[in-house]
Amino acid sequence: MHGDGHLMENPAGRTAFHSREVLRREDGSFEIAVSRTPEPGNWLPVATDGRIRLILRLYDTPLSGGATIGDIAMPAIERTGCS
Amino acid sequence: MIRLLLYALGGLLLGGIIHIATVLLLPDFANRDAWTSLGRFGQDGRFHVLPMAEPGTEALPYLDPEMAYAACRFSLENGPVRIKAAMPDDFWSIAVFNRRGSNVYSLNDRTAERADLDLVITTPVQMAQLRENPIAALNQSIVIEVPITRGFALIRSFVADPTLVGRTEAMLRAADCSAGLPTADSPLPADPDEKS
Repeated sequence: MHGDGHLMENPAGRTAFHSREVLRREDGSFEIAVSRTPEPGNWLPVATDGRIRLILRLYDTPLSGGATIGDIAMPAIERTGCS
Repeated sequence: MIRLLLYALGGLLLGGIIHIATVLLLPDFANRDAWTSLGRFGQDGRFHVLPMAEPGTEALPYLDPEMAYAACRFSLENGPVRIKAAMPDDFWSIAVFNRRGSNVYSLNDRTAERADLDLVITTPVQMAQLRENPIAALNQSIVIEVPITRGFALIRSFVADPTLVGRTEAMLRAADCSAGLPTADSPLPADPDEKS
């Protein structure tokens, strides 16, 4: 997403993954590659090398209460290389 | 000299008051907010299905591309608003926002514990009237009280696969934002689903 809350155009037409379509490892974890060049597995293509905004949305979750926020592990974002 | 200082102080105070009042009123005059954007979809009192969020053509910022949205602006000035809709099996939610876009109520498929939606939105005064003169036909409805007179309802419906967009949007288009509210005086209609 752009910083203004609008989705980013990309030739593959892929702007998001949801929990039922994302490819997972055997233990249920998953990894999504965000890059300009195609990647195997879950690939979220971007057409820019500028700033991007990643949004994780959780629906119907007890977490929204905020009481247990310390116990949850948020997904890690790692820079794997420069293109 | 003292008079001049007093005038200066008075002017400063007046300026401060006007400044604070302007800042506080600003949201009501903003025309790029959700309320105004949703008004472009058509008349109030009915649901309008927002086009699926795609790059460049989103109706509102920060829409989830995996969700289908329908929104309805309503007013409680002429009585409670009743929303009825048949909903898909997948996740859905309905949220009520005030004029400024702050969330005042929300419900989803799991908390509703039923597949269809029958929500009656009232002001505190209308709620008190409903408590005094209960309407039997609303026994199965979810009746909520909100501290607003104008606002909008937003239905989110999860679209697990692009092939389901058509079906989900058809259900959202059929959602009724101004379903009739039975009067307390009218005889109870025979409801085959009702278990006594």
